[in-house]
Amino acid sequence: MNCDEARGLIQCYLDNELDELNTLDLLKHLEACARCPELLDSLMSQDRLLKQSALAQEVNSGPVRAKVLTLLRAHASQPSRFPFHLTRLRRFVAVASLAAIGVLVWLFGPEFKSFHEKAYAAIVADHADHCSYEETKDARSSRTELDRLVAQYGKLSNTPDLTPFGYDEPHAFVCKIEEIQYLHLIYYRQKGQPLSVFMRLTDASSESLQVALRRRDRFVIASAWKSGAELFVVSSLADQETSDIARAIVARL
Amino acid sequence: MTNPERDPRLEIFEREAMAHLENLLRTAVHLVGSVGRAEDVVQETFLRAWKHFDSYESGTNCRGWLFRIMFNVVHAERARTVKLSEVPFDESDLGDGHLLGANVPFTPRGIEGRDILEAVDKLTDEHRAVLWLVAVDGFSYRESADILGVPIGTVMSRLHRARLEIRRLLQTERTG
Ligand SMILES: [Zn+2]
Ligand SMILES: [Zn+2]
Repeated sequence: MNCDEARGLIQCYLDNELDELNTLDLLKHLEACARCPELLDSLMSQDRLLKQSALAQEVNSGPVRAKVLTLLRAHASQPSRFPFHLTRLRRFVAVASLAAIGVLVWLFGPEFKSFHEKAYAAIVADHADHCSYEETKDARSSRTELDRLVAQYGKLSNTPDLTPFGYDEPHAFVCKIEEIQYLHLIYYRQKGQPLSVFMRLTDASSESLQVALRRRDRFVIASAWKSGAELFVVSSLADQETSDIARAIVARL
Repeated sequence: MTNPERDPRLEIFEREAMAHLENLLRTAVHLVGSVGRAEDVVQETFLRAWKHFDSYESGTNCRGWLFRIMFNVVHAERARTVKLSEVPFDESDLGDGHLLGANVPFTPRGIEGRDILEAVDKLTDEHRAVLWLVAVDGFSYRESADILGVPIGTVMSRLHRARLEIRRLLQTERTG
């Protein structure tokens, strides 16, 4: 091993990330070399100083801890107003109440609106669940897999390309939302929040080429139906940009 | 109605997640540069963590999970700040949080300890984050890559550059 190779390994050694074989080689080099040990020593003492100084810095976590606990306890004591994630029980309650609403819709047509409100709330919740951090590890993202899914769920010949809007290739989940399966595409971009596209096939004959916009929490939802496919775009963008994206996708349905 | 203090989920959350609060706050101060903003970030992190607590598997890497949420909160906050910075800057927006280097109580470890923390605060956001995660918080390359949502090679190269930059800054400090 020469000095250049050794220098390439010193950092991994310092961070305990070097395998046994390379560690042995590196140690052998360090014993024989006049210059490399100095680099290792200086990086080591620099790291030690940094860690000690950081940990010696006083941090008063009392106030924020108290505030978080107060907020959590307040939420825990008011499950009905809990604005967060649907737990399994709450999903069950949501589904059950949805079924009840379904009966009401059937009995009283005008109640139809609240049925939709529920569905939109569930879609926004799923968007927030899947997109608030990069939980895309078990998502499917190979091109052929994506194209197969968009064909199956949206009769699209290929995956919607949102690069003109600054987004990368999407990741895909199949999500059950209020007992209905949707293809959930998540698009990320360098700056700003991710965007979701939900789609599924419906047997509804009504076609809405118009893109409808509504706001929920801090999100904009653009929805459209066409050619037996249902589409929702959920974003944190402005209304206009969201609807442009929805239009661009619908144009290819 | 059940006693909220006895919500078993909340008890687990307090035991497994809240135990890392001080760690997160310490890191957040250096990520966002002021105590006030760091407290906001940590608060938001724990609210989000609670919201997603069902998806967390008890006994797995809770600290890594919390850090991942925190970095997403910081990214989201930065995205907002970028937009806000087009608006004329108002000093009073800083609230009672103070900028680093001004009032943050520094370590009793003397001039060297202060210098190195100041040097860290001069790094770019990306370099500082990686260095802090690995060298201070003791995360592995793999964990840091997951927390930051970048490839492991990126972690290694940023870390390398961050350490060299710190060395350079400290040397300039000593000679200048
Ligand atoms: Zn050497
Ligand atoms: Zn989803």
